[in-house]
Amino acid sequence: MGKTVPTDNQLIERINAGETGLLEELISRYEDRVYNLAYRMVGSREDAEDVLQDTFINVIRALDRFQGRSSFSTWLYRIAANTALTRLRKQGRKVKGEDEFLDNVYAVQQAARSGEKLSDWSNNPVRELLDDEAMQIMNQAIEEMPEIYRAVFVLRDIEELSTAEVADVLDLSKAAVKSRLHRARVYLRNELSGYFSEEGVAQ
Amino acid sequence: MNCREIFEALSEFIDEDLSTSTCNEIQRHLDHCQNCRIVVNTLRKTVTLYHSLPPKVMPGEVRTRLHRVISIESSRDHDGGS
Repeated sequence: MGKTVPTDNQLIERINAGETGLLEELISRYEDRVYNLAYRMVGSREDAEDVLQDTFINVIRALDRFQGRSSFSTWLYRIAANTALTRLRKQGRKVKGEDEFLDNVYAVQQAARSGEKLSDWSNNPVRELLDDEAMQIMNQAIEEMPEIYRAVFVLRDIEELSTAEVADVLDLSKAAVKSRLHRARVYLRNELSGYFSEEGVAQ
Repeated sequence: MNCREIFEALSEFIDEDLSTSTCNEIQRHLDHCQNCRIVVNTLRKTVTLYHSLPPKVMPGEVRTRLHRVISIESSRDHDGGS
């Protein structure tokens, strides 16, 4: 029995009872995911490291108030996402305004409706392993989105949380998560179109 | 459903998060509306591309510094008897 791996909640119970040495084990389970989430949200290694450290400091300080009503991972993601969002807002980084963002999202619909023929680059032979240029374009497109769309997209399509989990983490309704996710995806589709269409032409 | 309503439902369509009847309706629309079909194909491709983005790997020194911070913070928490 001694070999059974303890659940997150069992670890937390023991940490709260004084076995603080187990914090390392609990945090090791999630540090890579939190780093990836932080990096995708704030866009640089230095800022990601700050968000990573701040997240776990906040987690350690609040751990005795963890109720276990949602899973530890959801609770942790909530702290990580809020820490990243707070940092982004403080920095006042240049992102698209909501109006400009939505104009871009709906431009494709306008174009389609006006009878303009859209480019179908979905079957272009994109290299299986994305090269540096492609990844840079994809990352930059994420970073230009308004924060809340970025947060929904990163949690749902990069971290692959469910709609219900994202709603829980960001304190949004499921309907709001779905509509923001859709707009984020369309925006990214539009931003990627130029690059991935061209690659097809070059073939 | 018209093109605008179809457009709004395309992410849920991709995620297979709609009723069978709505899915069928969208599929019938896509069969004859080329632009909506292109939007759904490229939208699906976009999601696939982002899924295939490799994760950002935490550098070793970042991990080392994190664990130093954790160790300081947890001993402080312990001593402080909060």
